[in-house]
Amino acid sequence: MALPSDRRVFLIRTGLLMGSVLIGWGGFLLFLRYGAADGLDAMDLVRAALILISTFWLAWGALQAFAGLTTRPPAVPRHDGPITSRCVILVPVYNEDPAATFPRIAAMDASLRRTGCAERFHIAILSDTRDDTVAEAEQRGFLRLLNLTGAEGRIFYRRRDNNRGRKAGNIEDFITRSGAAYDLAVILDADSLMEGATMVEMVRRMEADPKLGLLQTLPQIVNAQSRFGRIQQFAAAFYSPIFCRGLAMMQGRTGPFWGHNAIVRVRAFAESCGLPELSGRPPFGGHILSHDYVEAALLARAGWTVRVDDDLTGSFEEGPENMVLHAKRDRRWCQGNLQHSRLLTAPGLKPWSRFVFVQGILAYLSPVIWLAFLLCSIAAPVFAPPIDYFPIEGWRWPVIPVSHASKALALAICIVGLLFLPKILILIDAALRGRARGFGWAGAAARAVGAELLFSALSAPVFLMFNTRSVLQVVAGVDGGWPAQTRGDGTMTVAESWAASRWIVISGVLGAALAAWLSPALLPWLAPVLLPMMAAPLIIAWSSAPARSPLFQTPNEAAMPEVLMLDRQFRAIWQPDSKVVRISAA
Amino acid sequence: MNDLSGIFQADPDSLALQQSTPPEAPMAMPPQVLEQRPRSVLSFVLAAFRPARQPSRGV
Repeated sequence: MALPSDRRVFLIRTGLLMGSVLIGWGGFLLFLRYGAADGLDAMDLVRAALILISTFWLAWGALQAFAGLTTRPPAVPRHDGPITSRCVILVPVYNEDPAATFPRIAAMDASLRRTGCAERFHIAILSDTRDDTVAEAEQRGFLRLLNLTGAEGRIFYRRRDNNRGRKAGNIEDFITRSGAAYDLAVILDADSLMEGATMVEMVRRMEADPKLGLLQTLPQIVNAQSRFGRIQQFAAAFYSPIFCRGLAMMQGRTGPFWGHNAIVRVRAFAESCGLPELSGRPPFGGHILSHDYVEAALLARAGWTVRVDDDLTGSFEEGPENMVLHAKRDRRWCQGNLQHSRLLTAPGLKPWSRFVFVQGILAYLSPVIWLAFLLCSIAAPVFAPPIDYFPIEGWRWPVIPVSHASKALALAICIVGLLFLPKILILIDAALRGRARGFGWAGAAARAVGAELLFSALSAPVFLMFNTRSVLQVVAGVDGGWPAQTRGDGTMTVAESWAASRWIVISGVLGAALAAWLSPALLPWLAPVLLPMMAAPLIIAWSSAPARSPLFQTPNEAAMPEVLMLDRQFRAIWQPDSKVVRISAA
Repeated sequence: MNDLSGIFQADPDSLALQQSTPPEAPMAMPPQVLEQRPRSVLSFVLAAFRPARQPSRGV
């Protein structure tokens, strides 16, 4: 999308920021008035401060959705002539199953051939695999890939001797050895899929804007099988484009990079994005884990434009199939984002890049702040001053303090509203503009949104606990390492779920006992948090089971994109004993 | 020793793997500066006594 003017971007950012601060401040004042009913104490001030941060953060997300709902993408600089750039598609792999990754590459190659531009693209599989058995399977898979595609000389495979710098180091290794052979590089993940036409369009946009250093797409989740996976897939397809539009309106020249499904100008990337190792030991020192945010900030620092184009379709990825895999992935992202606290004062960064780091940190601190608020609320009666029934000197009749529970209720309604209202508005917008069609029309979309909201409410306390554990581990100096991604089925039994989440159940029981002892009146308020915690194994196991209902249909299921069909065809013929046939590129 | 390479072809799979590496076209990717170099309190104090930096006279 064409960049809004710097002035407009400044106004949008300022407006949304001020709006969020005002809503947060409103929550702060409302809570103070509630707390003042029986006399303000230190615990009231602490809780009000926690509410201020939490409400600000919720409002920031909600207003981003409003910005997305009220704007349309402007025209984009592009050209229709032949593409002239030398392009490479980078597919970093790390102990991945070749039978899943390589058919995707074959599918993208076939999709590119159908655009007639395949000769402008090379594909490089960059293996960081440490497991020799997997590496051998990769080599066999590569030969089979060449056999299937006939793309000798266009598809390459190399395995690094060491995996210094992890994925960022893998890309850097490629650029330092082969970068001068290419103008543009499409960076993917092992589970990424992109339409050939989308990649060609991205090249056209890069060629039309020489100052554009990186162009990010919004990947849609596909191939989800479990209930949890399908809910995530629906949410990504239904809500994310609107949130992404809001983000795009705020990006200016400092848009996001999410590490994959993006295209970079190789020279810009090489000149600006060589990542140093941070001083000190992990988790805060050493290799930069969440390298993508940093690379976006470095490109912007060097004067390049970084942009997300929310109108680009045909960009896909796969997601975790259960809550535990989701939490494991979040553990890595949590460490990476908290590590960015070291970079807040990095020299020369744009102020917005620093704010993006703060946002990333807040995303993981926010649940911890909520938990701290709940614990403070349980402990509050211990700190509350004794009620003074005779506050007026000489007045012989007791004065019963007026309850301000209505203010607490109003605050709770506002907070739930900030969580749910954006999604409901997105539903109304989709129904009015016809976007709901791909989701089975408005009725099916409404049912899916309702079920998604219910599941979000049930799973949020469980994720809150996983998230809090991740933050505490990082703060305690525990390095999460670089575990390989676990993909595939993901079904978990109740026993497996119990093993993964019994500490959450125990925390829930202890929290309930503590509340019953110190603040029994608080129990009904805490029930929406404590009950899902106690039921965590059941929620995890239920949501990991294969989905049988047609609920949560997405447009990609209603009308399957070409590259997904090709991927299915290549997967079907990937079996070692099946007859090799070439899928027509015509 | 007779050269039998013309008679016995090398393993085509390993040959294909050897030829599969991306092209050699190096490009520099210098590491960026992300951390402010920590300065001790002493260096701030001594800075006042350091002679003003003069352009080199080539001596």
